[in-house]
Amino acid sequence: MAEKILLVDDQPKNIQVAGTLLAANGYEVEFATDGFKALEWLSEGGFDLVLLDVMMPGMDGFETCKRLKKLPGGMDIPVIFLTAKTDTDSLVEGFESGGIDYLTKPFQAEELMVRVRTHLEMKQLRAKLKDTNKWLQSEVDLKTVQLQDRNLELQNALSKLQTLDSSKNNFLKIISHEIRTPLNGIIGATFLLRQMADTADKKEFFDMFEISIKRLENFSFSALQITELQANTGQVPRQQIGMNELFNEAKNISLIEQHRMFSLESADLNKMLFVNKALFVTALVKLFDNSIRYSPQDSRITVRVSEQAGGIRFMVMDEGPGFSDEVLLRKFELFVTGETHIDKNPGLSLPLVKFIIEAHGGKIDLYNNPSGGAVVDLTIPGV
Amino acid sequence: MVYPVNIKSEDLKLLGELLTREANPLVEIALKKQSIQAARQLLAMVTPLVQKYQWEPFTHWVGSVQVAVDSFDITMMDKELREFKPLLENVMNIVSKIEKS
Repeated sequence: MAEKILLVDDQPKNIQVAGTLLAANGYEVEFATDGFKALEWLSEGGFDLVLLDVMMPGMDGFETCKRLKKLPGGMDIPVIFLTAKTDTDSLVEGFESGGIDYLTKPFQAEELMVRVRTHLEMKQLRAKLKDTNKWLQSEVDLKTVQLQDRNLELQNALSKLQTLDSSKNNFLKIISHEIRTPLNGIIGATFLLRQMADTADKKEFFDMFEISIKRLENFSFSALQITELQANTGQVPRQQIGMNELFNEAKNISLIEQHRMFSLESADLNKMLFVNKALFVTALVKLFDNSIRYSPQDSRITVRVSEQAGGIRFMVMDEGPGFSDEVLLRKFELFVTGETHIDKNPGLSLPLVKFIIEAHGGKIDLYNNPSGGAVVDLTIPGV
Repeated sequence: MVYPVNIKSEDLKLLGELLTREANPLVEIALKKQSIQAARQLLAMVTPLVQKYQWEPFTHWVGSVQVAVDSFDITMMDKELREFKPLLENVMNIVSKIEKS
């Protein structure tokens, strides 16, 4: 379909020249000999471009253009002024009234056609852009609604998870308390009964009994510590304490019969740390217990301490088989156990260490040493 | 009044009816709206009638409108469109006289 152009000029000769030219180039042309008639045409709609004479009796081209721009869809119709007035004020007035371009009379046929073609192409591009923007806006609106729905679902899911997490914490706290009270009675009674064991068989039974009690006590302690650390989101109270003292205390209260060589590697063995002593010793004990469990007898467990830009780094390294893929994949998740050590690992040790380190504002990672053995790598902020 | 030379009276009557019924509204629109496109529509309607009826005053009028439209001569177009009414009256008068005689 041919593009439609309105030619407005009070001189029939001018209309004849431009009209013939435009029609010969395939455009559908209508004409008006004054501004009022032009606005009548334009209010019917359907025009793609207006060629508008400036000096006309009655209503001049500038006024006609201003009124055209107020018509529905008028802003989208490009107006090219045909004018003999080339002074700056006239040109500015033309652009201010809404004109997009101007041609000085008498115009060259080639120039007229080039400008007409250019502005028609620009109009088409603007229309396409408008359509694209409209489509994009509708897509954005749709996606926004979908996101809002998804967000609501996530909020509901989060709320359920928080409820479940809170229930789990309460449950762990309750069972820890409920286990610890009778456990203390059992530990005392066992100690007394052990004194009365008079045969090797009986002593062996008491040994097994004590191991089970220790595991239960260990579980109860860890569960209680985790729930307390989870509930307490602020940092724990800290004090200055020597590194060597911490290391020896942890080594001495490690729960398992050791038969391992412990070594502390540090440039300054008496370096003072700023930590919560009870919690940090607990973390070291848990790491030592894990290393002892999984490494062969008489192997070495090394704690390497160094100062880093981010704080003080501890690497606890053993000579065991290393962490299983399952543990490395689901690091620090509660109750995750290594496949091959499921009977040995209570599943709360590493998560508890993580909670303790994070309560100190530190970070922790697990990996296997390429030359063998597991590495627990943690950093806590300096003083 | 131009009398028909080589057109039958019944054909002239038929032409008169066609011009009244179909061409007249298009002429009125073209004049009222000063519309080149309406004039083109009028030409599209009347040009086939030129061949069919071959009445010289009609043929001449159609040719003049065609020249005005093609050359975008709006003054001539307006003038020629205004000639349509006298032309139609001429046709109707002739038909009326023939019927009476």
